[in-house]
Amino acid sequence: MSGVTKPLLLLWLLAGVSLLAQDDPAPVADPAPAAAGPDLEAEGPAQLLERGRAAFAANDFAVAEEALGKFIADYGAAEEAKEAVRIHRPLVAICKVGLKKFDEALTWIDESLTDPKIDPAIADELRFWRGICLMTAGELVPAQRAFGEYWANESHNAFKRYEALLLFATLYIQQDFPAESADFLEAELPKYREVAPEAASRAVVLELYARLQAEQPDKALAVLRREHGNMDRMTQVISFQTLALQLGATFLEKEQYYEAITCLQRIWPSARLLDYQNAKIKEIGDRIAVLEQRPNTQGTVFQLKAILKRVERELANFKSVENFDSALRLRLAMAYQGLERYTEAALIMEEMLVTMPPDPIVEKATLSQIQCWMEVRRWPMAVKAADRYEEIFGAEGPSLATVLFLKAEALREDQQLNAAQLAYGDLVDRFPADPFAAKAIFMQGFLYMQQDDNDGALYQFDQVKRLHPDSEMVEDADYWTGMAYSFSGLYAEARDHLAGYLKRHDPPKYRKEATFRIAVCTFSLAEYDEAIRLLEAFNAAYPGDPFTDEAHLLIGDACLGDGRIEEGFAAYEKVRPEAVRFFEDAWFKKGNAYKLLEEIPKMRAHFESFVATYPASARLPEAVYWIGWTHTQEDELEKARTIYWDTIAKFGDDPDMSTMTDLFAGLSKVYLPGSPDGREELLTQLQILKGRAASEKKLTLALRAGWAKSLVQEETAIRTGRTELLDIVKWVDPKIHDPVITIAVAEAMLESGNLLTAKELFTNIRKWHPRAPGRDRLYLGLGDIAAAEGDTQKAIEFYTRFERETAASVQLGEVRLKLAGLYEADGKAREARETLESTLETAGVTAATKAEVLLRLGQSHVAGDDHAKAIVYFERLYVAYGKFAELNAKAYWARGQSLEKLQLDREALETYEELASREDLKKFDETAKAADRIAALRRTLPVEPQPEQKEAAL
Amino acid sequence: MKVALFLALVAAMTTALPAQDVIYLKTGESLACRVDDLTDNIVNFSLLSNAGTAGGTARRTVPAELVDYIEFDFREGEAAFFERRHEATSEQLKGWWDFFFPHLHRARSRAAAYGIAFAGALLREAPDTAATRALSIFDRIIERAWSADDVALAKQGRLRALMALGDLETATVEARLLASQTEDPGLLIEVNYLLAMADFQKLKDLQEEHPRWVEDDEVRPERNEIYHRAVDQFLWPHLFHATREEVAARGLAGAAGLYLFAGEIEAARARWGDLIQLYPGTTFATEAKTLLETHPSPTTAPTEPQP
Repeated sequence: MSGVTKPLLLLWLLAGVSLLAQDDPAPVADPAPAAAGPDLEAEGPAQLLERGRAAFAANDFAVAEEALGKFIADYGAAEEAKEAVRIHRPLVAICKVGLKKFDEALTWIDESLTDPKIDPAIADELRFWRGICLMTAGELVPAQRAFGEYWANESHNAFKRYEALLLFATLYIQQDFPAESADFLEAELPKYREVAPEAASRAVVLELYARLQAEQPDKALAVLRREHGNMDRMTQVISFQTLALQLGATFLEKEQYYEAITCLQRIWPSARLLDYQNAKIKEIGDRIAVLEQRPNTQGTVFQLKAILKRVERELANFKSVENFDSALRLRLAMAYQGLERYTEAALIMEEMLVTMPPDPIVEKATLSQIQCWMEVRRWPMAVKAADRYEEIFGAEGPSLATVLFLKAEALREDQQLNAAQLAYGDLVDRFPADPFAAKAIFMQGFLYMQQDDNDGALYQFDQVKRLHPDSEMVEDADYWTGMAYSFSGLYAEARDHLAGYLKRHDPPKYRKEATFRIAVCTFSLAEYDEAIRLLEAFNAAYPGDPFTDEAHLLIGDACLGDGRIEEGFAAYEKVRPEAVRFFEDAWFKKGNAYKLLEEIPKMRAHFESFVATYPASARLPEAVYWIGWTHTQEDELEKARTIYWDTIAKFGDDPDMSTMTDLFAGLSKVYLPGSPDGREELLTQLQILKGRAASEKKLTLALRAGWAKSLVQEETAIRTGRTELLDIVKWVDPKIHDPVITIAVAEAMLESGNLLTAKELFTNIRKWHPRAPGRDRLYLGLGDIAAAEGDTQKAIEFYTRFERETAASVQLGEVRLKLAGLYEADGKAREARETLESTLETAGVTAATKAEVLLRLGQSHVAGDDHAKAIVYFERLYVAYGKFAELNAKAYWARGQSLEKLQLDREALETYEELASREDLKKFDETAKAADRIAALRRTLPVEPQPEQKEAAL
Repeated sequence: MKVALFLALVAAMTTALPAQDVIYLKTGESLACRVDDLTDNIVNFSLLSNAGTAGGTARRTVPAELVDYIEFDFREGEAAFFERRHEATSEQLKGWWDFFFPHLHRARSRAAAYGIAFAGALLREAPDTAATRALSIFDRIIERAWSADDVALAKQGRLRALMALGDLETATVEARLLASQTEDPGLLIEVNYLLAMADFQKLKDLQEEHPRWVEDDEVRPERNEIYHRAVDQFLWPHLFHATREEVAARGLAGAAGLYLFAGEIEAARARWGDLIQLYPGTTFATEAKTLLETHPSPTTAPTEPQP
């Protein structure tokens, strides 16, 4: 910052000196060209006076000073010359000022001012210049007094009074009293602001400078706030704004961010500053030009020229400042960063990059911008900024490696794992020796591991050690290598590796994790005694650690594996309920142990305790099942059913108890599965429950009972089950009810042709349960409805979403067929064929669907008049999927037709004959049509000799 | 129609006897007079006698094609009202709009200014019921007004009316077009603000339609895009035109409101704090102080006493 502003900060002091001591003093015009000097020695008093006055009038101060000075020296003592001396002494003083002989001038001025009859205009002039002379002589206190007196006397020349005011304040600063200077300027400003705005604007700049010199940033900020609205009327706006920039930087350094922002936001961009200052220069120049045409304006012209010079000097200095705009913007962004307003900081830097030519500051800002976007988790913006960095700075960008790494990180955070993988790879390729390359290789390994490619991960981790042996990532790679072995089920390798890891690093960063994983691997290798020892040692070393819950669970498992039942139970009981998954695992494992030990009552009590204590658990139905199981083991079927019905009575109407769905679905397990009696009894119970719940307005319970009833009915009669679902639609509230039930109801509505209700249900289920299991069915339903409504685009959209949601549904093939149909209808043959081709490659698609896909692909090529391709698909159909008779008949016929189009009549004839020869296809129209074609083709084709005939001929 | 218009005009002009209008001719001359009748073809006016003379008037007619423009003098009491027209009610403004409406297309006419104020008042007072009327007034001004500045203001007004009518799609498209066609910071600020407001409304609609958008992989990216776009648009004047303190503070308040809606209390509180610190003299600072007090930080909010 100091490099940018310091030269300009000194302007005022320098300007003050230059104005009054070094520039052309007033009221002088350019002296006449130097000519051969007159011989004054030979001239008498009258001639000396005449010559001196003429030279003075012509602003030839050297001649005037010499002539008048000689007159006063030679004849001044004479009584008759006294009046002339009195009149001309001030002129000599002025000449000396004009000739910058300030020391000599002071004596002449003082002598002149003792004259009570001195011309008031000349006295005014001399009093002003007396201050200058004193100031030049280093007599700062008397000089300040002189200017103070000049300013205080309102009868003095107004223009010079303002200069005196400024010089008075400047002298405070020169004497190291900047606060006094600023206070004085602030106090005096209201007195002349209206009448002398130009002088006031310069006083404001000086005041701001003085406040900064006085280290009064808050008062300086007050000046900035107060004067900001007047900036477009300032003569020295560059000085003012440069001071504001310095003030902003001061606040930024002190971490006073609001104050910094207030300053920095008020600074104009350099282009505006330059435009304004150039306009101001032109304005002053024009004014000088006008004034120079008028009489008695030399004084004003002189002042204006001094101002002009000062402003021009400021402008020249400002033009030499590099990166003003980017420095300003970067500081503003830094202030927002200081406030942790990362969005604001990033947006400012974004604007910088768009509007400013690239320079080192913009380069740094771009990097900061990426980091800011990442702070507020706006990953796409971070990626965009990284791309732009590369685009603007390319390989020349000194931070490109960092940028590429941040881009990869942003992509990873944005869950674009493949793109992230490529981005890390890009960094490694381009900057193989950069420290970020090691991190990138490691992250590639980590991503492989996330995607269950442990071999890929192991390779990358090894690369870290091999290519970057000194990188800090080596330890991470070392630890995760052991983890990758573990995830691959290579427990012995994992254990050995992690044991080595603990020895290779001191202290190991992942000591706890590695120690725990070694114990887990030992358990997985069924070395239970050692596993128990290691896990107990871990628990002792890390009491209360989240890993200890899993450790207790594994100790329990290991003890049971070793037949140490009581120890195992004790270990299970140490798992804390807050570790929900492990806690429930431990509970159920203990219950299962009772089962194996055939301690049925204990087992029942154990699960009854679970149901009573943790009714909200997702595993509640499982616990109820085991309670029921214990009863069935003791031939107490009724009691088994009772536990189900009791639990349903207790929680069945609570829509938040989503586990009730599983409980209802599990009812059939206690009603003699496969037995008609049990089924009927269950249906009766469910019907009773449904009716009673409906009358009691327990609609969730009624809905669940109806749904459970439909499940039982569908086992034997799908249509009856669907009818039941149509009956319960009136109780469905997609917002609160389990999508497992509501989707089934919506599908039933769709099947019954009630598209409106089905659509509303599907839409609302999706709205309230966007991650519901079975959402593929939602999209399928919505796609079917859109297709039925003729909204092809919408249907394509929903079917495509279905494809995305389901990896291996048996319905996928059907949906793709529908999708292909829509593409075809939309004139998108290529998309249709791609969809169909992808169906052939999809696992889980039924053979019937694949056969139909082949037919459709063939037909698609026929539609495109590409018979050569079409015949391949038709043939493939009846060769590979011969059991689908109707499709086979169509395929034969279509192939024959295409072969005829290709003028391969003999091959067509063979195809028709093959069709005709298949008994299972005789009932289809295509066979009859083939017979006609066979007859026709045989008539046109020469009969080929049969083998027997050939032999006979030979 | 033309006759009615003419009669209305004559009636209007003759009610304003004390005013002194000035006709500026294309030759550069000007005539201080009272305009009696004005059509697209002719201007009838009366030359008024000087004060202190015997009085009397002389009626004249000039072809409209010779007239550059006419400056209508303020009617009695109008000047002060015109100055504060944006604070007036629709009832107060309606008469002036009707009065000046026939001159909407004429240079230097005050018709558009009154129309903009009138339609603005309608939107302010009854956004639900009067938006259609306001829209038609803005459209008429856009179509007929003589001043490009008035047309620009009417275009902004049209966007507000469209938003009040719930037609965010059209409003957004037109706002983007408007923003791409201007370099005037004032207009850009207004248009960006309207775009931000439109996006805020879209966000509200989307979240109402998808209450579980956080879990919805399909909706979440769209929601985040709208949300971030709105934040950026609200912050724009605060970051790049901070010396226009009122609009900068308005944007910052908008961003805070958006954060509040999104449940990001700390982010909202931070922006209210910024507003109070950076724009203490604006009308939004008081509201920000209240909001800051009524929305305590989640981390410092008092909790229920535990047993």
